[in-house]
Amino acid sequence: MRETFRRFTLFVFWGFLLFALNTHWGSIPPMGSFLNPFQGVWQNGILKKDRDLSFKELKESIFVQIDDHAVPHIFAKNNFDLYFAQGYLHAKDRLFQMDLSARAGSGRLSEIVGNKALDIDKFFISIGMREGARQSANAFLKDPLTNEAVTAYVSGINTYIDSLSFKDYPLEYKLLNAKPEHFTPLHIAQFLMIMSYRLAGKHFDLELTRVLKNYGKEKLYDLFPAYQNDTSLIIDKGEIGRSIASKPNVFTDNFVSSFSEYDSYLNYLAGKPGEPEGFNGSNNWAVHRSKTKKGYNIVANDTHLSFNLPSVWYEMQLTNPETNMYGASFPGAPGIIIGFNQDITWAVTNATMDVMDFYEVEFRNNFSEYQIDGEWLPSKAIVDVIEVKSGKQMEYVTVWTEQGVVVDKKGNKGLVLAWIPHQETTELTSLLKLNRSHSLKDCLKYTKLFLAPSQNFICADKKDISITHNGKMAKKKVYQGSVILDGSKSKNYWHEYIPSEEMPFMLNPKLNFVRSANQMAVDESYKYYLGWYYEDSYRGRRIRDILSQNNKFTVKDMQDLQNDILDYMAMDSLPYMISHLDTSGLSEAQNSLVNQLKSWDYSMSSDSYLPSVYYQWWSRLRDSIWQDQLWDGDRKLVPQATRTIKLLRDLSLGKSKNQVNDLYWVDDIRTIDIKESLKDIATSSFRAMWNHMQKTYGEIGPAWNWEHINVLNIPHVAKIPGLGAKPEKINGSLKTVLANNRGHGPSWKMIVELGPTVEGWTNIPGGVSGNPFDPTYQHWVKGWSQGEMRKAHYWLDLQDKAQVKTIEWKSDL
Amino acid sequence: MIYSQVALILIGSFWAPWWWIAVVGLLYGWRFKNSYSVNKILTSSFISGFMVWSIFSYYFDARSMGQVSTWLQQIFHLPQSFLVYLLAGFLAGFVAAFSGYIGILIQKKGPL
Repeated sequence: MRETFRRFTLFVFWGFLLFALNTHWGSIPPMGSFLNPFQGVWQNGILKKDRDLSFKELKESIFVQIDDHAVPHIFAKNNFDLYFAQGYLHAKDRLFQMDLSARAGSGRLSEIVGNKALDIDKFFISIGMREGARQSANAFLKDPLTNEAVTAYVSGINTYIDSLSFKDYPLEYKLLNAKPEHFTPLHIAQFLMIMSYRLAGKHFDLELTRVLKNYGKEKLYDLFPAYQNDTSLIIDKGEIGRSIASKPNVFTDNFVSSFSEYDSYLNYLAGKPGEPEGFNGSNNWAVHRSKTKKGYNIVANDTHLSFNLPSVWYEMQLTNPETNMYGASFPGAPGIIIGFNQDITWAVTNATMDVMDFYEVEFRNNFSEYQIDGEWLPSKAIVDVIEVKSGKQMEYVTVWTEQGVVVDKKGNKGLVLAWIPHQETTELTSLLKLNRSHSLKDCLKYTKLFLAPSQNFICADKKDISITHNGKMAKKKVYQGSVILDGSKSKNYWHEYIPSEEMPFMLNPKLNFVRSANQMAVDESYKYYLGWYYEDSYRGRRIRDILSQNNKFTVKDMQDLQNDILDYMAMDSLPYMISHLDTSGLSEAQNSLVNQLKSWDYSMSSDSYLPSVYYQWWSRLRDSIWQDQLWDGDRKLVPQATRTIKLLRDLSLGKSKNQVNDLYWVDDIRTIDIKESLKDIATSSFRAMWNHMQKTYGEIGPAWNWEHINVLNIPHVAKIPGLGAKPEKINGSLKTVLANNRGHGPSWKMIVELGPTVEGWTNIPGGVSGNPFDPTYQHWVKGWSQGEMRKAHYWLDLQDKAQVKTIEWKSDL
Repeated sequence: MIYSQVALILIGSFWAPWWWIAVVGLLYGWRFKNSYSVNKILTSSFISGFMVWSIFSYYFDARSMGQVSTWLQQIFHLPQSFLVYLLAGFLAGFVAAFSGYIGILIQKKGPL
C-alpha cells in the first residue's frame, strides 16, 4: 500500500513537473519550451536571411529592396500587392507589437497577459474603445480604396503568421506562452483606437468640476482660461483664413454641482496604467520657398510620443504605378502616416481639441432608460466578453445613451462620456488618399476626412504651404464641456459639428511660414470654441521667433531648429523666481548658484547642472503654489505653466490686478496660523531643491548635470527587462523644441525639401526590426540621441546597387 | 545506451515539443529496466538530456554572438552568462532522468 502511494505520488509529481515547465507563472516563462535550444528563445537569436518567396495572394510579382539603413522599399504593380507586402513586412518585423497594440485598444490584453491585465481591459471597454473600433471598422468597408488596402494588409499579416511555427514566434510570445492570432480589419480599427486614446484621451473635466465646486466659476476661469491670448497662436492674427471671425457665446450654466458623487471615479482614474500622458505633443513647420536658400518649400516634423522598443514607427517606401510615398508607417495600419511623395509632403502635430465631454444623466429600470428634457428614452446595453488567458470568460456590459457610454454609476445617476472616437471616423481613408495626393489642393481635401484624433496638418507642395487645425469638433459655447454637464437637458449635448471648411486654416501666410507645437490655434475672434487644454506655447514661440528671422533657410537650419534647446519657459519664469528669493539666509555656495542662474543662457544642455537646478526648483515652487488647493490624492492638477508664471510676474512687479486671488493661491491653506508669501515659498522651494539634489546626487558639480536627471529611457514595448535601449546623453526638455523628456520626445523626425526631386531626412529612436537580437532593433538610437538625421533613400525606380538587397516575391497565381 | 539516447533526443528535438526529452527518458526507463541498473539508466538519461540541451544552447547562442545568453543572464540574475547553458542542460537532464525513473516504475512491480 505504501509502495503504491509512493509510486502514485511520484507519478503526480512528474506530471506536475511537466505541467509546471510548460506553463507561464507570473513573470516566469514556461521554462521547458522557453529554454528548449531547438525551438525556444535561442532560436530568436538566429537571424533568417531574406529570400525570394512566392505567394498565392499576390496578383503580380513585386520587389522589396532593403537599403543600407535597413529601410524596406516595396515596388508593386497594384494597390493590393502593395498593401499585402506592407502587412507582411510589418508582421515580419513587428508582429508582437502589432498584436499587443490591437489587443490593448480593445481591452483584450488579458488574453495573452492574464489576470493582471484584467483591470486595464475593463477600463478600456468601459470607455467605449471596443465599440469605437467596431464603428471605425464599418467605415473601412464604405471606401473601395480603404477596403482594398485593409483586406490586402490583413492578408499579408496573416500569410506571415501562417508561415510561422513555434520556433519562429517572436520572443515575447515564448515568454508569455501565447501565440499570435489572425488579424481582421477590426484589429486595424483597434490599433487606430489606441492611437486615438493616446492622443485624444486626456481630459480634466472631473478635476475642473471639483475646482468649480470648491472655488466657483471666476476662479476656475482665472486658473484655466478658455483662451491663451498672450501666446503665439498657430493661426497668425489677421490670417484666420476661411474661418469666420465672430466672438462665440459663453457657456454660463448647467454645470453639475453634485460632483462629489464622482470622486471615487476620479480616484479610480488616478494612475491608471493606460492613461495617456499629458504631454503627447509635436512640432511641425513649413517654410515657404520665398524664404529658403534654394527656393524650395521645406517642411519639418517631429512627433512626440512615448519611446518604446521597437519604435512606434516603421520607416518605409511604398511604390506602385499610382503613387510613390516614403515616410513613417504604423505597424498595425496600412499606408504612410507622415511622409512625402513626389509632389507633396504632409506633417502633423496633435491638436488637443476638447472632443471628450462628460454628462450626469438620470436613469431608471436598472439603467435601461434615461431621461432627457423630461422624456424617458431607451438605453442600449452592449455585452463584451473578456477571455482571460487562464480560460476564464467574463462578460462586461456597457450601457450607452444616444450621446455616449456610462463610465460610472452612482445610485440612479450615470456619468456618461461622449467622445468623438466613439463615432464612425475615417482617418484611415484620409491617410490612404493623402498618400496619393499630387497637389496641395488634394492634400487639403483629404485631410478633411481625418476626424480623430484632431491634428494640425501641414500640407505643402512645390508651390504652396498650408496648415489646418483639423478634426471633428462639436459646435460649443465657450467652456462648454470643460466640466461635467447636466445631461438631463438636450441643449447641453453636441448637436452640430464645425464644418470642415470653417476649421482654422492658413495658406501661404504673410510671414511665409506656418508652424504648430500643440499650442492654441486661435483666439476669441474665431467663430467656434475648441477647448481650453492646449500645450503652453513655449516651443511654438521659439519656432516662430527663429523662423521670423530674416534668413534664407536651409535644410541644415531646420535640423538645427529641431535640435534647439533654448527653454523659453525657463527664460520667462527664472528671473521672477530669483526676484522672489530671499538670499539673505542662503549659504555661500547657494548664493553662488543663484549668481550662476542669473547669467544662465537657458540652454537645456546635458552637460550643465543649471537645467537640473531650474527644473527641480520650478517644479517645487509650482507645486507649493497649487498643491494645497488643487491636488487630490494622485490627481495632481496644476494650471498651465503660463498661469503660474503670470502669478510670479504680477506679484513680482506689483501689477497683479487680482492680488487677493493670487495671494490666496500662494498661501498654504494647510498652515492655518501662517500666511505664506511668495518670498517664503520661493525660498523654501529653493532650499528643498538644494537638499534634494545634495541628498540624491552629492555635492554640487558635474554629478548634478542635467544628463543625470533627464535620462533617456526607451523601454521595451511590453516593459520586458533587458530589452530596452542603453541610456544615452540627451539634451533638451519638455519645453524646448528638442522636446526630450526622459522616455518621451521626438519619436519621428523628418525634414523634406520639395525641390524638383523631393528629398527627405529622417530619424527614429529605434530601428526596423522588433527582434531584440537583430542588429536593426535599435541601430538608430545613438545617432538620434546626438541629433543626427539620415538622408532618406527615396527611389523613383528599382535600384541596382551593391549595397541594396533585392528580394522578389512572385505571384503563385 | 547513452549514445543512442543522445541520438534519439537530438533527432526528435528538431520537430517535437520540448517534452520530447521526457518521452525519451520514459521510453528508456521502461525498455531497459531489465538490462541496466537503475543508476545507469538515470545517469544516462540525465547526461543525455544535459548534453543535448547545454551544448545546443551554446551552439545556437554562439550564432547570435552570445546575445541570448547575455539577456537570459540578466533576467535570471545569474553571475555568468555561461550558467544559462548549464541551467538549460540541468533542466533537460533532470526531466529526462526523472522521466526515466517513471519509466522504470511503470515496468517494475514491487519495491525498487
